[in-house]
Amino acid sequence: MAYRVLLVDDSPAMRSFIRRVMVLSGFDLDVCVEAGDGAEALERLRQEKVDVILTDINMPCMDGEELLRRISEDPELRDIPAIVVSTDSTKPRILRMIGLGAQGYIAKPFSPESLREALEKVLGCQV
Amino acid sequence: MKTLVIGISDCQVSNQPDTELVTYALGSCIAVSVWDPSRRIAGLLHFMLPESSMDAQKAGATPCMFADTGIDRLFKAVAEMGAERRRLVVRLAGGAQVLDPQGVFNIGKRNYQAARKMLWKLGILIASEAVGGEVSRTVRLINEDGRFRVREGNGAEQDLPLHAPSRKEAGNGVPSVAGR
Amino acid sequence: MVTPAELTASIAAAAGSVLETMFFAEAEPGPSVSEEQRHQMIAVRIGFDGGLRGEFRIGFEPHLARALAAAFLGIDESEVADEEVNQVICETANMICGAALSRIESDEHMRLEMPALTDNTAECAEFLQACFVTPEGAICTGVRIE
Repeated sequence: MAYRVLLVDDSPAMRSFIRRVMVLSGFDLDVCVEAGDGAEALERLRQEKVDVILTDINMPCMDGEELLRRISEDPELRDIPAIVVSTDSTKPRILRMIGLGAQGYIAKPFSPESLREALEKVLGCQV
Repeated sequence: MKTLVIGISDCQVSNQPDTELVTYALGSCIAVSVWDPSRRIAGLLHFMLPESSMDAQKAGATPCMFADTGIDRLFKAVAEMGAERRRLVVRLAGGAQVLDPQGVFNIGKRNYQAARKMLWKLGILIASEAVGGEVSRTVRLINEDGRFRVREGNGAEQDLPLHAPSRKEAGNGVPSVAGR
Repeated sequence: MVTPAELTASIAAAAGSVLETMFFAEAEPGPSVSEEQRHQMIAVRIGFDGGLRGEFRIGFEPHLARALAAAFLGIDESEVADEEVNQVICETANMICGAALSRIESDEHMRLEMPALTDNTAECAEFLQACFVTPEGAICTGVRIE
């Protein structure tokens, strides 16, 4: 299956790392859309249909928590699975992000293998 | 079953299904196993030091002594037999602190990090591993079906899976926080 | 209330974890670097507030910065562009500081600003420091509380 992915992180290097992990994990990336903050991510979501969103939290303009809140309030977007990839692994934050619908949570720093595992779990497949 | 024994600072490959590759006494050394399930090509490396830059001359003479040159050699050898990198199942064993329980030199850990670094550079994710601790390991890679059997100390052999399991959450569907 | 000493210790632990997990590198605690070394470092500053207010500063010796970028991107050091080095060390500093804050049990929610490259000529005395050595060079972490 070919996947359409939205990567949201203000670090181009991190977006590159995540993209590489996905490709090396065997995911066929039909489309890989990138955004540097939550506002840009919402813009891209209006333009492209995606199968999964991976998002950081701490970003300029609009952070990942606000992004997930807006997604959860939008009937056209709320069913897209989202995985959080963030340095913030405090309990209150994790609970809030899960409450907003996050189906996976990866704490930075992370190994490539742990991201692969989270992707396979959320997408319900083993590549 | 034919047995190929891989010594320290050595690697061997096989495309014969009735072959197993074995290496013994992995203390701080690391065994890197690769298996192409489609072509039934197996390879096993037993390296002892992390970086070839530590001794360029030795690396030239014995590339399999080091993680970077050894793994490079291993991948080239299986490729020459027709293995495709994207199909390879890669598993690691070893990297213990058997002679260095206080972790003063940390060779086992450094070997493990060096292997991870080289594999990431080659675009390979690790399927499963049995590393660290303070126990010596012996491993067997069976080409027929890709089983990678690890014995720790005097314990029973355990199989390292071909693929890391995707654990299902129990009950409440709350995702765990993954990381390392 | 979080103390500066707790922050410094937390950064030290976070630095080790980040370098090991994402850069396959091992950092050992090392002596403070000389002023000359410090001035040659590529440094990242990250402000924080919430409870405590101040600044983290993470400095990387240039060769180490390039080696980290190469390891992170999975390419040879010779292939790494200068801009990529800067991006990677900004993200490295971000991960170290974020992981450090996450380790601290605090009632106050501390927030990080965006990382920014900076020159590393700030007086050492302002910053509580912890330095580490790797085979490729030193990394210095510091925190200043306002």
